[in-house]
Amino acid sequence: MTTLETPPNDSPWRLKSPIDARAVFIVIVAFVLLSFSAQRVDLGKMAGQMGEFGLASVGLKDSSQIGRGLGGLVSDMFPVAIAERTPIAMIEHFDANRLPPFARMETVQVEVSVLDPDTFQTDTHLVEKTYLVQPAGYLIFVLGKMLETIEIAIWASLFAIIGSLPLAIVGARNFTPHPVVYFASRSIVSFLRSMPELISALFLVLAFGFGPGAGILALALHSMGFLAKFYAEDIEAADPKPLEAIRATGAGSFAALRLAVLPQVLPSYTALTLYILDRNVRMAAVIGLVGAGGVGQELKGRYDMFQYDRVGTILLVIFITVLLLDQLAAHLRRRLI
Amino acid sequence: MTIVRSGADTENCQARPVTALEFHAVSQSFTSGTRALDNVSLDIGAESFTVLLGPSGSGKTTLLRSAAGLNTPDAGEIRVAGESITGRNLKAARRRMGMVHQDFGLSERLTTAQNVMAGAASSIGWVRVLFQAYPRAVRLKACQLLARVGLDEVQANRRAGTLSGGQRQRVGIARALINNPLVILADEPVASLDPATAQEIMALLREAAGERGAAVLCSLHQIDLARRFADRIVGLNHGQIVFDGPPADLTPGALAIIFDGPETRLRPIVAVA
Repeated sequence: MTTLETPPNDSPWRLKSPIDARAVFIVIVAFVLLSFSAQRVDLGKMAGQMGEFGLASVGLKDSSQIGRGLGGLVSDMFPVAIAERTPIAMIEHFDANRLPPFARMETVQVEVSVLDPDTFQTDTHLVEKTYLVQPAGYLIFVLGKMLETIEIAIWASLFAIIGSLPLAIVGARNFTPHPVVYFASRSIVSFLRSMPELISALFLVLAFGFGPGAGILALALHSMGFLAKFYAEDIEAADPKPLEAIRATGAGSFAALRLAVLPQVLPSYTALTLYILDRNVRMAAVIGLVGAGGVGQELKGRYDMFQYDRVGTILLVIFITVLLLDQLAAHLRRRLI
Repeated sequence: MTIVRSGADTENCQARPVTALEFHAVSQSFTSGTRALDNVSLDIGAESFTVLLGPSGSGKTTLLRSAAGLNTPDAGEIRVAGESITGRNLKAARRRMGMVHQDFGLSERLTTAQNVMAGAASSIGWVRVLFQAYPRAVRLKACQLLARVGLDEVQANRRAGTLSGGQRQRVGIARALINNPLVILADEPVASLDPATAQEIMALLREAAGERGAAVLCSLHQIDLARRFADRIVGLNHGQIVFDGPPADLTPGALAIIFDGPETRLRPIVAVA
């Protein structure tokens, strides 16, 4: 039996407090710095606008800037554009007998006013204009663009996985052939990760021209950096005991990696890869804004032409796609891990 | 000079050398300054069962890890079947040894059978390793060994992570035997098992290794198990061999020398079986 030495009743031990002077100091410094920053970024103005919007929405104020802005946008966006009307005159080799499925022709009479150069009178007469109406034409077009975006994301993720595996293996401390190789790999990985896709896409579009190619490359480079970093950290954190056991049988690095490390890191790799795929779909929609293909490029074009009903369609399609992909990723994660 | 690695069962027919494993004046210090092995010389005879006894930090694990080439001694030489295990010989030497680990060292997400077959990965091409497509001879041997250690077909196809501790160590023994080793290095093979299971595993290790003509060098901290299963007991203390003899010679006096450093000689001995 050992006896514990008990402290005397009048002077208990001094125990470590969870909040010490340093923590308080850090909070105060952070508060002061944030107060300065708040002024620089006009946080007061933003708060004022939000307050105004809040008051207006409960009827205490006539109107607010946010309300007017949002209201204008929403009324322009809805109803969203689903159908596509194309003047037949603009379609090359139009054949009225072979219309696309579900399409119909619509003829309207349009008043055209022409100034007569002789009489200086405005001459108004009716002109017949024929349109090809496809009831879901624009929606189908946007869905096609969305599919292109998903394809960009899948290719980018595939290239990222293929490229990041060797980088991760030589960039893991326990598997690198030489410290110089380790350092080189880690530097490449940091460089790739430090480049935001939107910015690299901006320059890659200049190099490769508009289209999905630049987008795939921009996304692949960034996600390669991300995956290589986390793959390498997983390899380093793997339990060394199975690794040693395989090495003790005389097996080389490849067998050790395949039989002792890969089974351990596979669940984490699956989760990381699903995350990167999910993120790449969202980012692929964004980098289209700089001309790197997909639905983003369409969005940017319609936005610049003030066709907000079409912008609305595109946003809805992106929103629903991301939601569905999220569900799919969650389902796959449950199945695979 | 080169060791020709023979496949599967032919090795059993070869004449085994008298000495399976030799340590010649092996010393090792760690950067922390501890001298884990101090001029250790030891011959492990073929088909013998030798138990290493000693207090924590006496160098038992370091000795076993040195033999497996998992750490390189500062001085001295280790030979398996007369061949030094250094440099180019290491891989070939490792194939002549099997190792059983305290924490089993299994890949928990691979199946039991895959873990056993992984022991033979060193002699198989990388494509086969990548797809875990082992040759028929290896698969057959793995099945035989699994049956020998008392596991059935269902357990062979379960993930190793779902097995109990005792079952996992059975898999460890099967894996250690798959290359027909001359010697099995067992580092505290029963330290994480309950006493009843520990008895079973020690008996299995002794029998399965004996049948296949493999010598066993096993570190233990249970004196009763050492007495019961060893042909020969080697006592280590502060990196030096302080006892070497049959279990019958393991008197309380001998135990005092093994388990007590010079500075703690007056402390009473605990747990003498």
